[in-house]
Amino acid sequence: MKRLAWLVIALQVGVLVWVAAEREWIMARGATVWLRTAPVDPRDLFRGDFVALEFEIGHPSQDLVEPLKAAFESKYSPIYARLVTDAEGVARIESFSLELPTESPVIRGRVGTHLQRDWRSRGSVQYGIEKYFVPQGTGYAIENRRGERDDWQTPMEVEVALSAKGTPVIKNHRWSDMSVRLDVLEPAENARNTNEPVRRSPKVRMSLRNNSEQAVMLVDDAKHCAFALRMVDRGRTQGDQPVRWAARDCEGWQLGELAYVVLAPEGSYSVEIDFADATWFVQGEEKPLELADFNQGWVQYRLVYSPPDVDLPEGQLKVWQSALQSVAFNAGGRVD
Amino acid sequence: MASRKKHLKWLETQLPDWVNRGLISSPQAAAIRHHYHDTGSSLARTAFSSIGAILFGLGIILFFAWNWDALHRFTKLAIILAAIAAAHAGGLWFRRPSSPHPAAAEGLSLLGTMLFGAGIWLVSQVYHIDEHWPNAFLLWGVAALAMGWVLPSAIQGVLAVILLGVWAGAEVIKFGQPQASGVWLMLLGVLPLAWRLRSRLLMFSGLCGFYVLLAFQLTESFKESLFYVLYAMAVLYLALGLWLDRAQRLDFAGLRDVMVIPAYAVILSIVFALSFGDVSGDLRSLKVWQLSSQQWAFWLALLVALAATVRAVLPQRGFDRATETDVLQLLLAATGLMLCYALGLGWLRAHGMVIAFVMNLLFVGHCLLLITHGSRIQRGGEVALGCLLFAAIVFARYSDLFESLLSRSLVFLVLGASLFVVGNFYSRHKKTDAPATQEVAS
Repeated sequence: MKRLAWLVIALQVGVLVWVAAEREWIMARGATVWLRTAPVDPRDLFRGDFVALEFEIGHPSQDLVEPLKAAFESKYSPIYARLVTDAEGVARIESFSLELPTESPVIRGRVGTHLQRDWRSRGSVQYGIEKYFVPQGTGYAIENRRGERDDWQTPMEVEVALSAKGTPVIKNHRWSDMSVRLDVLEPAENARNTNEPVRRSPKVRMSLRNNSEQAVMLVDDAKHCAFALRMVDRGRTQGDQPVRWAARDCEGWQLGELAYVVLAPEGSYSVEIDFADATWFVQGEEKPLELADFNQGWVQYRLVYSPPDVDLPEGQLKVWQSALQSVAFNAGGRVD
Repeated sequence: MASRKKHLKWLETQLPDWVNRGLISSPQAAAIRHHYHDTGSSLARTAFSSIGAILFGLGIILFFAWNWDALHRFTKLAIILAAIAAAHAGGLWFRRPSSPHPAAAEGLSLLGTMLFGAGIWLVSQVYHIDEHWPNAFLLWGVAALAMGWVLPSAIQGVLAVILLGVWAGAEVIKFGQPQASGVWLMLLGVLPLAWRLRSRLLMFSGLCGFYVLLAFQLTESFKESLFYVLYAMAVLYLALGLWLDRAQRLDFAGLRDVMVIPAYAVILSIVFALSFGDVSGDLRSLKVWQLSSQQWAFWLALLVALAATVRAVLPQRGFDRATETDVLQLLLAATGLMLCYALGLGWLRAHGMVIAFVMNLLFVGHCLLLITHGSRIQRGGEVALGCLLFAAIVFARYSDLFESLLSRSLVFLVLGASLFVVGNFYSRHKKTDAPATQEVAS
């Protein structure tokens, strides 16, 4: 019996050593990528001694989810995401698969919020690294750096080492060169009993600020096609339709139509978006709709700056070519 | 514990007499005295060292959670791994037969298992692992159970019950994923260990754990039949407890209590709740056709409970005859169960207040049985419990049945008179038993 006791003790120690050694091996040998986290309400970020991370790759777009819809209907289904890196070195998902892809880098996850038949939410994926443990008391500093909901918010980017099988291990973190801010200029008003028209959808302003020590360029055009609208999976939707602008044809950008915005260090660029204005209507099932009519009020959205790929000759200023999303807000103009 | 002290005191008075009469020698008397006193103090030492180990282990978990940047991750890992090995090695060292501090063995081994839990959380923090967190409790619980078997140790088994309970509860409450393996771990891992060690504490923990985990397991897929299955399980526990208590060659003192206490806790809670008219009225809402795939569990639970009840009542070779109290206890429990089944199935149509009245009678019947049984075997605690429950049902009815001051005064008169009768009944049995005890002693 004593031998068995030693065996159990060795197993206890062995299990811990095995888990730690596997992580150490991944950190030393695995491919590394940077994953950007979304700016969310700071009240939800800091719990005790860790910072809750909401990865952008945890909320894939509908076109990525659609091919594996069956897997996304089952919570905790294992899933692999093949990653590609953008010009800023931040990884995004290229495709999902149920089997381990042959090409790396790959990250393994599980379906978090699953698609449901009666009321469809957008699928989300959890990668088992959604908690970033920090030294006691330093979480506040990270919280402050990420910013308040009505102030500049700087996305945190997390360096993750990946094993060949897609097991992720967090190695480090850094701050994005670009900060983002969303101001609600005019929120939606409550309907009154008079015939007076009231504002039913908000007017917002999305701003981007250069945090780096050198000037960079943003890409946009007169129609502001660089700004997209994305639905967040925190609510019921009337369907799984993507949010498309109705009045602005932003398909097939041409380089000649692009406008380049030079941002000096600390310089910023803002775009005002009025969801009550027909210019910013979204495409409903039958006709263009203002945001208030597109979905129930509790559905949340994010504005996303997502510039097209441009290839400028050398010697030009650096173009900041990475997607950046705002804090979540609803059709009433209430910011998360 | 009070009863044990009483017996030890009696033993102390008797030992010199036994030596004088030549029944036993002086060394034998000393050995008997040492054996009983040592067992008592050893239990206390084990209890204190176990509690100390658990608190110390929790302290280590919190210490590593706090002290992050002062130590490199390799240092932290080395400390925890060395501490696990050292605590377990110390536990084994003190466990050897010639050890002067055998009680320390239990505490150190338990500390080792607590440190293993600290190690799991430490590794997950060092490497920012946010996987399915109940798995940590499963791993920790299985490790504790394995230690319980190989040492062997009842307290490791109790720790395993707690950890596996947290795991199964989190899977259901937080993630909506009942885990059948938890029920099997209790049934095949914990209860046999409790039997092997003849540990009342572990058997009690294991039976409660099995019951709770079964409830968790049934919560999702057997929602409609959950109440009936759990009620039937409680009757089964009661029947098994009373049946095994009559076994002539069963070497497990106190097994009756560890099975009857949780059974009674559930049965009396249910009957008490159903003694309220609006609660008992809800029982009629279940229809058998609504159960569909759950029918087998619904019927199996009833059949097993009734079969065990019949088995516990009928005479059998190798078992003493069932006492009148046992038969009545089982009869009341089975009646309440069958009444609930009949109402749930719609076989019996009765107004909620009628059902409540019957349930009140059943509850009072249980109270009277506790009082009479406690008086007969001179267990003051059982009598007091019966009286308290009787007072509870009287006051429950006081608040919802009676309106006039006269009726209310009657409640107090009935309660006061009843307790007076109980007091007399108890003391009469005490007097009756006293000469018999003296006879045995002389």
